[in-house]
Amino acid sequence: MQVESIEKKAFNIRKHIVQTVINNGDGHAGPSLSCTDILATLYFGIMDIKVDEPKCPNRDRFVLSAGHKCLALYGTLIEMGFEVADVMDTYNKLGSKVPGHPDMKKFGGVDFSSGALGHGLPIGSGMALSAKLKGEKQRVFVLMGDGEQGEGSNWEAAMFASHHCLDNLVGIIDRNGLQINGSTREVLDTRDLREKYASFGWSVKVVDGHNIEELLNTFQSLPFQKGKPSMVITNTIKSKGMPFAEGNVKYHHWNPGKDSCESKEAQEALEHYAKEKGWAI
Amino acid sequence: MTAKKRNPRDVFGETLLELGRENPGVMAVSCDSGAGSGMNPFKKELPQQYLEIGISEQNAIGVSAGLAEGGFIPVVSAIAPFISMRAFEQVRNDLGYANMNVKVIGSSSGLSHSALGSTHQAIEDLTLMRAIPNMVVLNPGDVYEVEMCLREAVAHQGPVYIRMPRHEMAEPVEAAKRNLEIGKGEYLMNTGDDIVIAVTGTLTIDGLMAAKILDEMGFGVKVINFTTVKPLDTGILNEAYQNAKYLFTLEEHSVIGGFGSAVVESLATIKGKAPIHIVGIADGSINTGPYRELLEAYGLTWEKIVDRILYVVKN
Repeated sequence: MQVESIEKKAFNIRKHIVQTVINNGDGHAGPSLSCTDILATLYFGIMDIKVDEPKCPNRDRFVLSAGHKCLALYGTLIEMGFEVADVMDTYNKLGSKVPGHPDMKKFGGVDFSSGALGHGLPIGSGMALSAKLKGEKQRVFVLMGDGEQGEGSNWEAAMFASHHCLDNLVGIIDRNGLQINGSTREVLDTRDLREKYASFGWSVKVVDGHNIEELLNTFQSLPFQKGKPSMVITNTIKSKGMPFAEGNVKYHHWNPGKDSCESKEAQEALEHYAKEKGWAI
Repeated sequence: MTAKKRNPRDVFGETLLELGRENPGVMAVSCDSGAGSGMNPFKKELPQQYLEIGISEQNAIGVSAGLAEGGFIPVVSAIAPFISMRAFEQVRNDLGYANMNVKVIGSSSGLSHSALGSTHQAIEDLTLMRAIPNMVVLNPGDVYEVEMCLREAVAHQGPVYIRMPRHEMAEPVEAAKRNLEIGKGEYLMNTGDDIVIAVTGTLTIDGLMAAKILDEMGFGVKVINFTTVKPLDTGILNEAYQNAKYLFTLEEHSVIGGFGSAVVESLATIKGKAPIHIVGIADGSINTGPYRELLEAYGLTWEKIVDRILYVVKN
């Protein structure tokens, strides 16, 4: 039951992403759709957070290091009840609460502002250390992209987190294999990320980033090893849920226009999926 | 003027230790720089509040932001160019825009590492740090200011950059007579309006010595010390500028974008007749050598300051 409930939430988040870009133009649809199932699993199945107490000091934290995936985060927080869905009507508009990268000062439930890549793991490490120093049980989840692994600051934090035994820190890599200029293999080959993080002293698991049950089981087994930070490498498909765009690098940004063929195709794909599942759209 | 000299790093370390004793939330964060910054007494007495990050300034700022989010007050120190320039984007985004309660200490700032060359000298840090939103920028010029800057910074809610000197220094004015506050300038001399000297940081003592010579030569001189570069005390500056004949700004920093630029930005719309001369280091530091000799080469010792001012006034 829990798996289907999370699948339904993921579906709703995808609707927010697709509809926002169709209505307001130009958004990071592809990267947001690839991490949607991960966010849905974390927020609706794993993390200890309270909507009525968004700044509760010992809540779990989520840092979206790859801030451009923010449509997925906004959709998730709306589904959680932090904001009403109408807030997405202001996307790409002056003074929006939902800018192109998440801002903790503007949107309740965003635990830290992000945008420039390679910032999340150091910040998350500090949050995890803070919890340890205070004897609190909170966990810190940091979601990064695979292209983002090119930023050296990630590896500074990777050394730091294992050195300080931060087993309340969970890194997640949304490995969709694509970045703006092409495949990660072509642009700057990350090679074996499992081996890399393991050699930095992390405990690593590789999972299917669209399999809710597998994601749930994985996150429920945290920490993978006492005294070590955990890394979950999730194999994902960019633009998951829009079949015509899946795995296609050109949908990193998507600006279909309201009445375009692609807009209709994306909406039909969502409707078709819902129908298959027996859900009301 | 007292002749007593002290090392600013010792004063920083002692003050930090006192603040750490008073508040267990104060964390000393080192980038393999704790010993050089004066943090060793803190590390020895309060090891649970001491964090070694290693040679990784970007991570040090990110971790400090995370600690601050959890309620701690990190005081993170590294050699000035590394913490203000290599980690600039982290300071800007994760401390400035995020308004995190982290104190960034640029140790051995300015030309302190005079023999080590431009990689280790920081003469652009004021330009960078004062451009960051929410950032308070402090530039102590004597050991009293070192202590008070750290105390004020820790008491202030929000990010602060302190440009920390390295070499032994005297106090130009008795500490008991002074009351340093963030955002407040202070008169160190006021004998007239012929020459107004606005000074910040390590040139305060040389600026004051130059002013005394000029005063003895018959000029009316004002010396205003700006320990806070941002927010600048525009009130005291505007007041002094009204009747000034000449205004000189002094800083151990590039003339591009630093304290002098802040003064000019502030006075751009103020009515006054005085030409403004920014005394500092021209575009980049290419020299190395003993500290005082390097200051002299850049025209920043009291003798050279007197020469520069007299040349301007007489021509």
